[in-house]
Amino acid sequence: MSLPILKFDAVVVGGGGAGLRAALQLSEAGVKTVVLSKVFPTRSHTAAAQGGISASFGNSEEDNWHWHMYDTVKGADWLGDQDSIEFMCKQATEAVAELEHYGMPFDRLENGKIYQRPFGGHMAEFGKKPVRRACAVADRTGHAMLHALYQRNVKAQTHFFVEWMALDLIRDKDGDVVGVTALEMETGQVYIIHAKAVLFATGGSGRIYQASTNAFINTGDGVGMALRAGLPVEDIEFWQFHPTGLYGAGVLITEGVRGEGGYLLNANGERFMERYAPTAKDLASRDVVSRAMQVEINEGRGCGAGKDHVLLKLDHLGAEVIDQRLPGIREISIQFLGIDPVKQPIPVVPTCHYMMGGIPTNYRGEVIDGVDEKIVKGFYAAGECACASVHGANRLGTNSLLDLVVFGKSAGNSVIEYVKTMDEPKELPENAAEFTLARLAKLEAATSGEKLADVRRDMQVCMQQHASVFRTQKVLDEGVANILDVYKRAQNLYIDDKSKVFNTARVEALEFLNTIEVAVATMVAARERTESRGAHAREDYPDRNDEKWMKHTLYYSNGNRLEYKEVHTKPLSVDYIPPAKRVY
Amino acid sequence: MDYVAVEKLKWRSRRSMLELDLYFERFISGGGFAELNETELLAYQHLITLDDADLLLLFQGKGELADPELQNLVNKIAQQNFYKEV
Repeated sequence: MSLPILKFDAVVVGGGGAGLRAALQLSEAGVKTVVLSKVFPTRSHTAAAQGGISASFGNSEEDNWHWHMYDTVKGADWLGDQDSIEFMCKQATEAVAELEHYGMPFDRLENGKIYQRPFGGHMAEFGKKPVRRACAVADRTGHAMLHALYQRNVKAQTHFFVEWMALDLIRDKDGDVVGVTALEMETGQVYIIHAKAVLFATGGSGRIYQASTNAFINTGDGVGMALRAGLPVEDIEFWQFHPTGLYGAGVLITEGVRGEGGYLLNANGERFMERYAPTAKDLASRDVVSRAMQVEINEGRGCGAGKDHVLLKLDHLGAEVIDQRLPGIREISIQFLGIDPVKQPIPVVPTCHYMMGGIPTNYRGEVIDGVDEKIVKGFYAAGECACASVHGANRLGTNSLLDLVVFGKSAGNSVIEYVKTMDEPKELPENAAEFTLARLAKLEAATSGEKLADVRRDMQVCMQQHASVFRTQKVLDEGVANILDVYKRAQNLYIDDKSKVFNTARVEALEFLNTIEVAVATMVAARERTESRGAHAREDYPDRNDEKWMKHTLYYSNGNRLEYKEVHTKPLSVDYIPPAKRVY
Repeated sequence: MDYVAVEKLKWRSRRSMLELDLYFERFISGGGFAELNETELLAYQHLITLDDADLLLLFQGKGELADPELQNLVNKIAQQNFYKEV
């Protein structure tokens, strides 16, 4: 069966911050670029980022990129690649200045410079004291960034295919990437998009967990496609749980609340973070705070009838500060829990927030495969779906928006260099769409089988119970058996609606087939890592083990195979930051 | 409005942030959406073209739309979601 073929120089999959920043770089360089997006680009999940974007401008107090690099290496619990981390931290001020020139209305100091607020894990003088490094547009930094980037892309004449879902990568006999198959939801037509280069910026996959701050669109499509194409995913066992997800709803209460002076209390009214992180207290790194909260809950000092949450106190800040500096927090708390934070503390729990792992890339955004880091020609990735690896075992707040723009641009530049080397895309293989069509045909042909809602729920419950903040060998062994069972059931999905046009049941089933790949990868990788590092906390292996485990996990879906590769210990220009105990 | 058009409305109710997903999902799965008449469905179609930040403010009661039909719909969605103390 032949499919219509559309030809571009570059196809960017995903219309969030990383995709838009990459597309802008490409279009401004005259590269014919199309962005595929499941939803209108300004409705991408980047818009949900509230707190800010880090850059060591030093507008309020002394700061520099080397301190930022140190904090990121330390935050990553020494699993980050130090060349990538140096690259990102050094580029930060230029990247933010660019955004400002694109029209992002950053908050200002009275002297006209960008206002900067403190954020968890960001410190001065190599970890000595908190520093103001986060640049913000009130609590709408991601939203403002998306709008600025989208408008610039319109000006640069980037093509947008909206309500299109990429289905599979197309690789030729050399393993090079030469396009994607994609579904146009409006018509139900499947296309081959033939391109010189493919850049994935598909975001995260937080929907693998039951308690998640992620929007429904975060279904791990890029990681699923990469795994099905025989490529690995790196460090996927590391998931950040945000300390302050609204109890029962998952909605995120920004770290900015603690940046402005809010703090956590247990059932005894104790400000317990003083015990766990005497210096940084409530502004310690997210994994440290999440784990401390869970310990309080596990040891019976949780709040409420179920003793299953802690409280975030901010009433002492006053209504004026809350309304002006933290708009939206008050309404969310009132509407979803019936609690006004001006009068009462907010119930919060650690909630899945961010995927540190992803498709392995170097700092140029080129996808790399295997222990020897062989470049996969024609394939690039940036943002949450990629693993550069700057966040290592734990991401610092405000480094995510920075990651999007720095590596979106860097990957864009690499694509520009690559497409220059060819007049036409490499030839499509004869069977370019065969795999996709077989997957679709199976879904269409099923007359009975598993219901999506059931399998998805079972996956989320399994991940929550077996691969969240606390992990043990027993819990993970059971988790692997359970999730492989869910995976097996997922191969027998059945949908009632067989129509072609705007069939959302089919789209959701296809999304889930990506999500379940991420879930299995997470569980299998987590089971093997017998240490505690960053977000991966093992009760039975409470310490970090650099000798054995300071290495990146590579997971391949074929046979659920694991390989391990070295962490990059050579920064680009400064000395290596050697491992130390991670205390705040 | 035909089946495909209604499915399109549901898909476009997927937004950038979990808060909005929850507002819309609870409205759809809670039965509010199914009760909309043709005029209200057209209002819904219009409503979901609004910017996410604006929608959030509207659902949080921080703004009001000039069109009473749209505002009425906003109220219905917000009320479907409003926490009921037990």
